[in-house]
Amino acid sequence: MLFNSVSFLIFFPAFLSLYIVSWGQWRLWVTLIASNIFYAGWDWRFIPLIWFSTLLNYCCALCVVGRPAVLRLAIITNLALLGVFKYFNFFTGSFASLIQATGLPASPVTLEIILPIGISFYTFHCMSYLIDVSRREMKPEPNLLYFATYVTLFPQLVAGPIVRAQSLLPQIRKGPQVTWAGLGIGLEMVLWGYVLKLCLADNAGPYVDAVFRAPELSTHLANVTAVFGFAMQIYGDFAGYSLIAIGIGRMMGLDFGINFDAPYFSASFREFWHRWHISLSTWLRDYLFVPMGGSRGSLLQTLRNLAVTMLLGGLWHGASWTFVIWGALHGAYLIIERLIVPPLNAVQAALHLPWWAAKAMAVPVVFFLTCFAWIFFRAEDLSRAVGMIRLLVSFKDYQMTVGAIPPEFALALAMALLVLAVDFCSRSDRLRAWYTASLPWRAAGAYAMFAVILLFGSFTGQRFIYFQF
Amino acid sequence: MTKQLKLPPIGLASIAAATIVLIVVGVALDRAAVFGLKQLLLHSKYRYMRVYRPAPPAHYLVIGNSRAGVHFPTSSQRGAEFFNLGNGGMGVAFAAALANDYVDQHGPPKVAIIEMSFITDPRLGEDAAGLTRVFSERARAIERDVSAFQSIAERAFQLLRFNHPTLLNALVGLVWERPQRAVAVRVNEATIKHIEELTPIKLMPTPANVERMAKLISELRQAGIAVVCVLSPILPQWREKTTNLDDYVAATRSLAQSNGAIFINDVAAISDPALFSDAAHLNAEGVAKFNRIFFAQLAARRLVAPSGDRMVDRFSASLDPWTIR
Repeated sequence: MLFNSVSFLIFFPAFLSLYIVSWGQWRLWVTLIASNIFYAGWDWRFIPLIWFSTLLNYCCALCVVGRPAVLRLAIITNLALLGVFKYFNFFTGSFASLIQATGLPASPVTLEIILPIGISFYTFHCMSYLIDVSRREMKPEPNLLYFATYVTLFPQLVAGPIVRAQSLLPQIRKGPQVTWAGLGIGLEMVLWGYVLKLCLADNAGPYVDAVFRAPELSTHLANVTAVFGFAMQIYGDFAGYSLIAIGIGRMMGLDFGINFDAPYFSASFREFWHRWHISLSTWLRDYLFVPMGGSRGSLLQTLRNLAVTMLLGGLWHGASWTFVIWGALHGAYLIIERLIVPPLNAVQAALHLPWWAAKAMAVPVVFFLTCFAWIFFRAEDLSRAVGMIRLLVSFKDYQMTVGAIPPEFALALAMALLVLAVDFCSRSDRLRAWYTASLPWRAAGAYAMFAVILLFGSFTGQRFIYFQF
Repeated sequence: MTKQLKLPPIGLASIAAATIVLIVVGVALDRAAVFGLKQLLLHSKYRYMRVYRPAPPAHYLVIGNSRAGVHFPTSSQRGAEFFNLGNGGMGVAFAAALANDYVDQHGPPKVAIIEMSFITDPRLGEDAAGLTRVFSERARAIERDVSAFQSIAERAFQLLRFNHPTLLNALVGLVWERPQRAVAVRVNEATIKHIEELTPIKLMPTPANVERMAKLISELRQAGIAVVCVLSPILPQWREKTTNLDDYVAATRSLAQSNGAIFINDVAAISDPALFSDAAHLNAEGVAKFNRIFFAQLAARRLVAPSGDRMVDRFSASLDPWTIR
């Protein structure tokens, strides 16, 4: 069931009505049943798997404290589930290619497995819970209803945000309260999420898909616009999904935190990862980077930890070398940044360059390099990514008129400007405070968002990109 | 929010009341926005809006898909002399609706140039001109594939009727007239190679389009308009891939002539691949060359100068023999 489907438009008001009239534990039962219906809407065969994962982690958490063997076993089982369902074909295929490269005959063993929707997300939910319990940062949850509600909670089930048990379980245990303020803010978030998804991402999608499918058949400028277009498409798609999920959570009286914070205005890659998919980057920081030593050791160790974290972060996105290279590129960016920032700061100080001028120079550099990495993230395979880069650096067939850009994509570009303008304004605390305090402006803003969706939304039911992860 | 308003406690009744208030206010705002937007768009210089607002009548009305839009002059290039309805994704159904609307609103142009390629395209033209449904009874009458949900939603929130990819073009037209231009780029080797590797192509006019086109030509002729049907140049490699090109040209010629139109076959008028931007479109250089050829062909039939009815009368009197191979 997609957030942008008619069935969800029927499902959600029905669920919210039941949710509002129910109370106490009944409210959680309503949520649990609705979440399972939502998940079964994709494929009912995924239900036993998520319940296996839920029960496994529920039971393990009850006896994990002081027993590292239980933690190891549970983590291995979680990763094995992920490995079998998501990475088996990738690793066997890559291994067979490696053998073939040496001249020996090898044929990869592949399994006909459907990737269960959201497996990466709920596995990470469960693993962080187990690790937190084993670290004694939280107590194990004895109530299966609470825990199952946390794991299967439908707004964040299939594509995040990865809300930690430490944050969400206490809210579930306490009993979420629906308030007018929560409904209002939630509705605003949902509307802006739909603007991002339907007006920006889904209008950009068809053109970007067409160019990335066969880059060599498009002009140089078409390839350039497709790369920038994808940067905006994935932002609209994923930030849109996150906002809809967070907004639904707010309407239900649950706080999921934020997942995106104007990432394309980052002046460094470190800042970018504090603003892009925040729930994943903090997860990787807390459960991978820091346990490996973080930045506490020597410079070389810190750089190694960064590289490994980003490589695995890339692999988390999908079983493909393109994702690995995307992660490796971001790792390289972070490493180079660590090395060149001190001398650059010295130069800035020596030149008495104001902070805003330095930032104005850094933001486009970070954006362009991020876009370059997106080529690997989006390309269907390595050869297409390399072909596109070759074309981009060749500067052949440079000329192209505006007329050659389809109107949907022109619309997406206009929406991208609107979204970036809103992101830019949202960084001003004063402006944010003024808007939040002004009821008439908020009402006008909400209607404007609704009108923009009606006028410019693409209602073709395109899937969210992050569902594949 | 709650500090400024005294709201009742949350409950099903209060939520239902709030929902009703939201829907009523939403629908009222929707109707106001629809009225305002409609008036605003009529002032747009976006070309299809020109059909529905007062403007001096054109001498030439160009009809067709992107090949018509790119290969023939537009009003921005030739002033009011030309009005080019050609656009990517245009189908015969919408083209006919717009052409007839134009004649109703502005009176008949002297010459209608129909680039005939789109008779093989089963699309109706929704992508190119779906926005005109807001203004045109004829466009609204064209069948449409919408779900029951969408139909109900459109009745409730009429702003949805403006939901079309070209709305932005129409809004941009409030401040700037975007010219339709041929691209300057030359078709690249990869595209030519790709075409050469394609399986052979057959061009087949769809029966529905043949019927619509026959009706359109007849209607234009009855309005006293000289109708010139033309097949403009195709990339030589694409021509070679087309196994039934001669049959297709013959069928198109027959369709044009049997309904009282001139037919000009310029499919092979340009053979240099460097003058194309892709398989079906000339680039700017190619368009300039093709226009010289095509308007020389029209000049030979005294159909070029916008000097008045006398020329068209002469043309009408001796219509049939004017077929150019």
